[in-house]
Amino acid sequence: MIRVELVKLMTRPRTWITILALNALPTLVAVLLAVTDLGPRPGTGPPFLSAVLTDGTLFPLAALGIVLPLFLPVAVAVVGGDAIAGEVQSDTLRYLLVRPVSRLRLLVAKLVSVVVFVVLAVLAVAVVAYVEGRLLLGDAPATGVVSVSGSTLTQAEMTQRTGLAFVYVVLAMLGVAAIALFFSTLTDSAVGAALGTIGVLVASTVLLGLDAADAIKPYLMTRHWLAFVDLFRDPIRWGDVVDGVLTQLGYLVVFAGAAWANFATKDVNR
Amino acid sequence: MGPAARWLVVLAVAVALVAVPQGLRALPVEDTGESAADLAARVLDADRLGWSGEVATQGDVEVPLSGDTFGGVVRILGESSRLRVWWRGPTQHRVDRVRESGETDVVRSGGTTVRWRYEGNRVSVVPYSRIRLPDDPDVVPVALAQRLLTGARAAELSRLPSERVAGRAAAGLRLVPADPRSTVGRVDLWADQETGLPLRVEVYDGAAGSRPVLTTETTSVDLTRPPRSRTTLDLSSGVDVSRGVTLDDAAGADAYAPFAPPSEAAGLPRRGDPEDFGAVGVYGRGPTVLVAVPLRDVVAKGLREQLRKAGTVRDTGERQALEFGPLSVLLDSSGRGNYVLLGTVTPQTLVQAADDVRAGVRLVDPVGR
Repeated sequence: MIRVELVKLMTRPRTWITILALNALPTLVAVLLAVTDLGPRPGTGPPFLSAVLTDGTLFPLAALGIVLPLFLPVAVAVVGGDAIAGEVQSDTLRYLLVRPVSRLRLLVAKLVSVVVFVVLAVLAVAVVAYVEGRLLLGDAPATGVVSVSGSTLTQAEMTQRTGLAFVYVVLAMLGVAAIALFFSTLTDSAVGAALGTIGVLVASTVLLGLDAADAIKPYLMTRHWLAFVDLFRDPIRWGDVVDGVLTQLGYLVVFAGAAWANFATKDVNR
Repeated sequence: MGPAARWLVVLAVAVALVAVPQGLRALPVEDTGESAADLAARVLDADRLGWSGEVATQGDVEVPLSGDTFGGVVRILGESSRLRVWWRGPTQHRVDRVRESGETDVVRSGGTTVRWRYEGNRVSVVPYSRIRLPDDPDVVPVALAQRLLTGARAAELSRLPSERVAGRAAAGLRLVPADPRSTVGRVDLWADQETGLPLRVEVYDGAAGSRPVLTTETTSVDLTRPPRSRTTLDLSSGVDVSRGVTLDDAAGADAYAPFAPPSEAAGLPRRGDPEDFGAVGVYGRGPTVLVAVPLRDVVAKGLREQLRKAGTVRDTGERQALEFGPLSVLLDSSGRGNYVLLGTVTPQTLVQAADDVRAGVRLVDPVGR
């Protein structure tokens, strides 16, 4: 079942168009930085963007910081929202369910498919940004990459931490994928499911800026998204990274559970 | 399993995920019955303890100024920060202000202060000065508590119920300044019951209202002394290094101005050893404190322009006065030279202090001082 879903994901033009669109903004940012040679003012802008003018090899991390707050979760919401509702809209869910596969396995296959999409999207953003960084932005200093805390990171440390950052970004999207899947089981409209998920994201972002919401901030889905920056401090600041992973796992358990609770006996009319 | 049972399972899991951490935080704390004076004594002694952890600070004052004119004052009183702290003692610590876009690290090592700013790819090394504007290490609970409690009298102190802070049982202490010149209404703090290490400090202004103007709280703490390697910066050879004599204008004034301020201003006694504070006068005790800093014309001019941009400034031409939160500021150019006075005292006290400083200041040999 998982293999079928993965083949479907890979052969859909929409998957690759979405990934292409995800790369558009970081590419535009790289071109603008290269042409103007103007970085963001200290303390402003996405993480690492102030450093890429002197070290273009950091642009993959800056690109992740650019797409992570909005574009990547929107893409995940669209793909996840389509998981079940899209099958309903195209009148194929009935045929999927008559196969000797439990509904739970179908849900798991759909979730795995969304996660694979996230992996593909993050890898594509990183690779494209790396090429752009090397071609358009500053060369890496001969003294090595400078960590956020000012120390030198060896190539091995940089590779290891970058790998951890990509894993973290993928994990950060688990909650979005689970929510989108849940909404997808609630409605027959893929767009409606995606919009519902985006609504949750917007609500989370708004609440993060509200002092009155202090008590619930640790539970908000977007609270720890940019904590991957902490992997490049010296020493690594694990607290927010671990909290971020636990938060996403919590959302995954609850909303994937809700999707299962709703979908297990859902009436399928089309 | 039926639909209702499935939803019940999901609901139970969701409630457990939210309730367990909240329940652990809400565990009741038994009070030790320690007196306020004894607790204050332990708090004052706690800056010698070694520890590491994270601190969240929240300033709740609408600051009508921008830029770095007042060093970290604007940021501390008007913004929130997250600090990573490695504390070996009052002269050996590292405090990192972490942001999503980078970090600024301040390391105090004996007589030297090192500051690293990621976004500028720059490190500055300057001699430590007791005369300087507030910075991140000053709002770490242990440092702030010591500053506020120094000189407190027993009658101004009382106990608050114990609470759990950063997972530790913490004893509460309240300081209500008796001095009518103070703009600080009260200070509430909670210190670790076992060690006396302050974990949370809340500063309230004199106005009625329930919100503190400044809160600094330890969110996680490890009570083992960090190794010396943690309180140093292992900086890459690729970063720009600048060496200077001062970190800010206040320290610069102390270094260069050939003045000795009077021993009293606005009825408040001069604080500390005059040898340490040089040209800058620090007056008062506990949270009732003001500083008088002589300024060079070029610095005063920039400050005057900054103050005049604030809508609430009172400008007589020779004096510009401004208040925000518990802080009062007065730039005085009414006589020879310029003085900026600022402190947690009433505006009237600051005006009186300006007159007293001008009347009592002595010219001295800066080298032989």
